[in-house]
Amino acid sequence: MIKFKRRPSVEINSSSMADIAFLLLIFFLVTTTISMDQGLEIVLPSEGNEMKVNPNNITVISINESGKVLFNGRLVKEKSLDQNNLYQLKSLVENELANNEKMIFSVQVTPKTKYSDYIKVLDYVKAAKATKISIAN
Amino acid sequence: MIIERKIHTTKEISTSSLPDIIFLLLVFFMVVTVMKEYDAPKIDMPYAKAIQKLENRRNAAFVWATKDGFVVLDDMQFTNIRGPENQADFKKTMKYKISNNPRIIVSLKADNQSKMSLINTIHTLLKDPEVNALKLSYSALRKSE
Repeated sequence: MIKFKRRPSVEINSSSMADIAFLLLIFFLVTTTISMDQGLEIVLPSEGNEMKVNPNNITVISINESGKVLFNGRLVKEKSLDQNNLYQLKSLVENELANNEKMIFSVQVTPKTKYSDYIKVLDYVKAAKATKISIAN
Repeated sequence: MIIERKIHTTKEISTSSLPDIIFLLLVFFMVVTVMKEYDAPKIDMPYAKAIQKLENRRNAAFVWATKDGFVVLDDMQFTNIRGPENQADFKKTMKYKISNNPRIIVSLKADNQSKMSLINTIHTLLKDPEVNALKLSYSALRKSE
């Protein structure tokens, strides 16, 4: 009887390579942090593009250097800017918009006004769905 | 005497190309991932609710403004943004960015304690007819309800 010699296989078993690659892929997928940038978007007016606006369609919101907010000359609750929820300003803006949907909100600041106060006010104006916002220096 | 050999047919699907496919995927993700690293100054960002996500980081130019009046535009630093030299450099860089990509949105990362005079200077530089970078996003962190 003839006996066949068994040849040992010389190939390296590569079936686990896929597992290793998957593991690497999952590791990178999990550890990668994609920082999502988010913010309050506005469009600045181009220079020399000033236009006259009916004074009835403007609401002036002024912020002074200590963070006090005047809404058309009336003081919005003093404490409100320090609190997380400045509902009064939001409802004031909503009321104005309900009366006149063409209303433009002009946010006026002084050079020493803090950026955080400005963002707080802008946030509430935007939260009240105001689209026409003007920024006065 | 004739010996008949049995032909063994393999029934398994070959998985030898699977690692190649996975590696290709891995390399693809590694290539398309954009990582922009800058030496950004330390800033304490404000919180807001009515915020929107920045559409694409590729279409964004980042401007940092610290409470000390230090301004950084992507990788350029301006120690005195009110000085004419710094202003000219800022405008030149921003103009170059806008001409390369007109859809650019400027993401302003300013410190809570920054004064509005600094922010207004940045506004003025962005509004400059030479630059005309009018799309602005005040970067903020999401405030919980």
